[in-house]
Amino acid sequence: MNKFLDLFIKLGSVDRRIIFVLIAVSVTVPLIVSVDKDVRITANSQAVFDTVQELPVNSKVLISFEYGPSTKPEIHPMSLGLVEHIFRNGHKICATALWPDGNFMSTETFNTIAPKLNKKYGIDYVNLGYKPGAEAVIKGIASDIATLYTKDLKDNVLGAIPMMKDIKNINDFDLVISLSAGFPGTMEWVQFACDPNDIPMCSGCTSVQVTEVLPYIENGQVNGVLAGMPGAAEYEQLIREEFTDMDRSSAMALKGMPAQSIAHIVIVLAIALGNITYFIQKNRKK
Amino acid sequence: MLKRKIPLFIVIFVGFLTLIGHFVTNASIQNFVDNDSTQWFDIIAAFAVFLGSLNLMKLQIDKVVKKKKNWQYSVIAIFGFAFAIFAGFFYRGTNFITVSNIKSENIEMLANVIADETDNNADLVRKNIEYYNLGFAIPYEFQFELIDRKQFLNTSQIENKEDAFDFMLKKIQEDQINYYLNEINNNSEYFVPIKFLNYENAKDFAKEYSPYYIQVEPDGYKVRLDNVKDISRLAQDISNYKTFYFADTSDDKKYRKLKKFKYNMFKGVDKYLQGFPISNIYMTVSSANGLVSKIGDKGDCKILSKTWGSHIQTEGSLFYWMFQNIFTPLSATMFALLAFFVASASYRAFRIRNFEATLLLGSGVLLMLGRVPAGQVISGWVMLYILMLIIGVIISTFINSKKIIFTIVTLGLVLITISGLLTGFNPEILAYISLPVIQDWIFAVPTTAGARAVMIGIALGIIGTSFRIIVGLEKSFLGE
Repeated sequence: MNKFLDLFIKLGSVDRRIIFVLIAVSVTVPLIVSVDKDVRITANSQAVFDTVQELPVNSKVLISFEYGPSTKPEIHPMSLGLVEHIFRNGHKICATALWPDGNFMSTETFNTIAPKLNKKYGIDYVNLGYKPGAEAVIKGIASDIATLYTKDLKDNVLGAIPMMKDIKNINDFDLVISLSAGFPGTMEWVQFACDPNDIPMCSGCTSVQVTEVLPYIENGQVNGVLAGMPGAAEYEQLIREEFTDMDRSSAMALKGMPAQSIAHIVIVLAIALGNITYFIQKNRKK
Repeated sequence: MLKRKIPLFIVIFVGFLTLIGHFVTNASIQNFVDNDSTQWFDIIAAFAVFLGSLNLMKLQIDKVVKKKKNWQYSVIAIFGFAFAIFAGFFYRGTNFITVSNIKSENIEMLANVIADETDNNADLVRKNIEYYNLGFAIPYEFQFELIDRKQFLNTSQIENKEDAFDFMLKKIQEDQINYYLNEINNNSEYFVPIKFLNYENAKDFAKEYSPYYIQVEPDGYKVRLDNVKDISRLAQDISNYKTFYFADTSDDKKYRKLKKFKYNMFKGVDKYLQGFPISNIYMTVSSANGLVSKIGDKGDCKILSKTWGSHIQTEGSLFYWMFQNIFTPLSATMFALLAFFVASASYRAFRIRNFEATLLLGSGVLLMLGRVPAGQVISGWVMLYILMLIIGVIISTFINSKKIIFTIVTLGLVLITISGLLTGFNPEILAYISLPVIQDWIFAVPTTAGARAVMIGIALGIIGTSFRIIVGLEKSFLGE
């Protein structure tokens, strides 16, 4: 018995580099050996999907890109999914960025989706780009976009863009979506633009940020949230169920879920092992 | 005195003004709160970025000069900063080639060269060049709505933008007048498709051209004409009424519309005059020159760059290259390291030392597993087994006898197993305690409650601190 317990003590004090290797293997192997598995749809993801789905034809949607390369694996699949869903339903998109990196993320998203669906810049979508100022920018968009943005990201004068003809401020949008990885992000959009003007809003954020958004969902100030990579995977599955011609192999988040599953299991096992060792050592000391 | 009193006065004044803006419906104050103050903030933020950058450089250079601990990292920081400034402000890259004066006999060969270089379909490229060679395409907005053929301005007609614009307007008006003349001549009665500003305007217009018969539509804005005196003038006037092309400056709405279209057209003409654009974008002029030499005398080549500012977002600029190849992988790597550190830290430090730590660990494990597909296959039956073991742990705090605890737990486990066997371990029966459902409940109830408490606490703190600043009690921003 003692030998058995000693083995646990040894396992409980392995070098952290071994843990690193285990995590690396648990992440890379499922990514290489592609496993395609359905995910369970949560109420929050379904709410985001339903909000977009129920928009009247030719609606205008404002998407704010507040994430960068560090959180790209979690949030970028949401951007692709949402933009494709919105375009396929015949709506128009106006993009902004509260983070400088957001410009690159929005550009990449539109470059991926717009040519595929034959959507034209200035008619079907506009990218206003990044402006520094966080809450001040949100307030500016809420009151008068033309005062804040004189030109778009491609250097076009705002007045010359056909799509912007009927857009003065936040009240001209039917939905606001904040794709956020921190500050400024979803919370600021709720507080300074959507709640005061009663504009429907959805969010896509990192897993660690969901707790901040949940109270707003419970209060009805935000319709729904896509939470981290699982949320993105759920959305990818939902739109692929709606549009059967969409290729499942292009679903980045769905591909990443097996890796996340295995990594979580490895971490849980490591925690369990660490605690078993802790109790054995504690009993021996007694 | 001035250094302290004036900033304090500004803070108190602006603070109260902004606060009042949320309670008083006055257009000027509202405008200040919604627009002016945010613009002020932008200006101050721009200076703050500038000052921040200078400060960063000062600190890093100081570290290098004095060879402080880890000064080598500062060298990288300085180099990175200088490189970003260079890529953003001094080197655009984004070189692209345009070809003009393409003779029709060269189109085929040119298309093949471009298709080879851009990895495109040669037929498609040829069609694009032919289309370009037709001349400047009049934008759809300018084309008379009832003429559906696409119109072009011949290259020779575009010597300068203003002439091209006037030529185009004249051509469009001619088309319109001809159309209306044709319409009017073909009808004994003609319904003039004009919406007038008011009834009087409609009546005056109708009287001018049809003195014997006037019929104003019930809404008072449309008229029907007969016996028209001057058909060609009527056609011209309809054309003027219907379109914005001959708007004068007093007609503000039409004039603004005309200006906007003129701006669009000039942009289009500029683009056309540049020459046929080849889609490839090159970082350096010398790499673009390779294609220029291949094109040779098949057209006049120009190497141009994207405008300053827009170059940042364009693939082929140094800044874009830096973002994609340096910033993105470094950021992703830094964030990815979290997974390794979280795993290592959980393994070493996540211990069941007390009740609070047990709660944290329990909910953490449930969330980690419940959010991923692997956890979603754990049914309510497994959770029931785990629940039985937890009950055993709780009982052990009240009863010391190991035999009694063992018996209770074993009995519980056996009962669960028998129930499971009788129902075929149907997951639907215990769906309400399956792992995903428990995870959802943790999210919806304890997490939300905790988040609300934190948010309300922060909000109260902000109100308190803001009030102290506004009334001048808090002076830490003055360095006190």
